[in-house]
Amino acid sequence: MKNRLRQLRAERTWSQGDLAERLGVSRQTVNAIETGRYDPSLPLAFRIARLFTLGIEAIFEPETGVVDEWR
Amino acid sequence: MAGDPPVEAAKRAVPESAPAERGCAHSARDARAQRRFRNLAALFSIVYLGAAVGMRWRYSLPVLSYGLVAAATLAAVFATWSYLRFLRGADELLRRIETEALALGFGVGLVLAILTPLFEKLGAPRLGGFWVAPAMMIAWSFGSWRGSRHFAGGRDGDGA
Repeated sequence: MKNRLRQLRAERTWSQGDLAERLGVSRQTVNAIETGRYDPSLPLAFRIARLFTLGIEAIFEPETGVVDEWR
Repeated sequence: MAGDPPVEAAKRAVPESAPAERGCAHSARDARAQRRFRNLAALFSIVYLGAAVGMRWRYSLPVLSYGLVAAATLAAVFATWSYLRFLRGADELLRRIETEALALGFGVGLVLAILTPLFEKLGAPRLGGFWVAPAMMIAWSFGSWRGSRHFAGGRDGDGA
């Protein structure tokens, strides 16, 4: 899953620790999501979307081909 | 979007995590719960060793032996309860790392428990059942360390 989390965080000049605190997760979790090594749970994805006042699909995007496979 | 100048400027301006923060990836709550579990696990190890040594006097001092075994059992129950509490309250990534590590430990323990007798029949040195638990714990610790390394890696692993 690709995401725009790093960009959105950068726009607000938040550190990973700042974002982690706002989301109630560890900094390691934020880092793993940003680097694409970990896909967040649905509740966390909703929390992220709500924090940035965006839709989930505006932040997270499946890797190319994943959506097509399910169509 | 990536080439958008304001965004690039914002990315450059993003504060790096403090050096102390880099080494402490878990939240304070998780670290506290993990420390509690480790303390109880250490207590269990000590009581277990005490009980194992105390077995020498199981005929001359049966009450002491029963007491030591009961204490070891109690310590094991407390350690397990503490680990469950830690796992339930853990950050979701940490929970995933721990679950995968537990699966590795369980798998290694299962393989050893099932295959060791066969290897022994083929002439391999006799290990006995005693080594299954330590091997499980070593595999679990390795899985935990490996999982932390895996999810902490990546191009932005410095917290920028």
